[in-house]
Amino acid sequence: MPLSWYLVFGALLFMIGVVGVLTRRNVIIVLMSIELMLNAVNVTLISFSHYLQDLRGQIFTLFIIAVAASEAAIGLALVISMYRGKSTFNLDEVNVLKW
Amino acid sequence: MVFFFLLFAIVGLASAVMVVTRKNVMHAALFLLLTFACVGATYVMLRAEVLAAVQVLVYAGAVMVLFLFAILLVNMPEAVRLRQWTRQSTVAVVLAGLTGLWLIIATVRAFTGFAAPPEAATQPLGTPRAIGEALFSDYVLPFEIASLILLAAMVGAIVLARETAREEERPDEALTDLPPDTQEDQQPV
Repeated sequence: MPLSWYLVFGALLFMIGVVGVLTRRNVIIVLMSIELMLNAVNVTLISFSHYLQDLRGQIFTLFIIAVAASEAAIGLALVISMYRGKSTFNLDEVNVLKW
Repeated sequence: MVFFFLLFAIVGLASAVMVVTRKNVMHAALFLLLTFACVGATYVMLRAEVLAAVQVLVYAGAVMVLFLFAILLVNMPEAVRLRQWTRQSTVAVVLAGLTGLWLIIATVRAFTGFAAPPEAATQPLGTPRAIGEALFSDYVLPFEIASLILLAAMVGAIVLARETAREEERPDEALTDLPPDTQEDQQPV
């Protein structure tokens, strides 16, 4: 199976994640879209690792998964904190740093 | 092989679209689980079995449970009836579509006919032994840094939760620590 199929799969997944981050107001769905984008990058790295027979792509993916897990933990803690403080889920209502 | 790749890719992409478009957060989380499973299946097809196991354990297990806990903790049923999309949605979809189209064209043009070397089919690259040896010899410093990141994330999550808990306790403290000039009834003149 050609390499470009996996790359197109990764690109489409990344694109869907970008659309989710840019268009949704619900902060939990934005976090889910970020996870989708990280998964797309992992697919690309692992397909290159397979087709170039180089283990480094898989090691890199392992570290990306670790960082993604901590990012999800911190992000969801922020969501809970934001909900307690402002009683909202919507990103465009949290704009105290914007002028 | 081609059939299974197309199956997992199409199901994964369709459920990713469902994640982005569902109004109900819980439905989006369950579709995200399906996407994670399909991505893990493509890892198996790329002979990265260890990474597929890690994907299922960490993403479909830990991250998913985190998402479900957060959704249950801040459950807001009326959020379904709110406006779901930001005002720049059209521009964002067009821009992301053009970027994705450019990415697809570029990768297809650059990597068409790029075949795996013949030994890729016979001997898998990412065996647990190979990954473990690489992690504990060449990549031991990133490994330790990853553990520090996880520790920092754990401490950060606890601190974020505690801060709000202390704010909720504050009214009780205010009741017990009244300033002396407000306790007039105890000091008859």
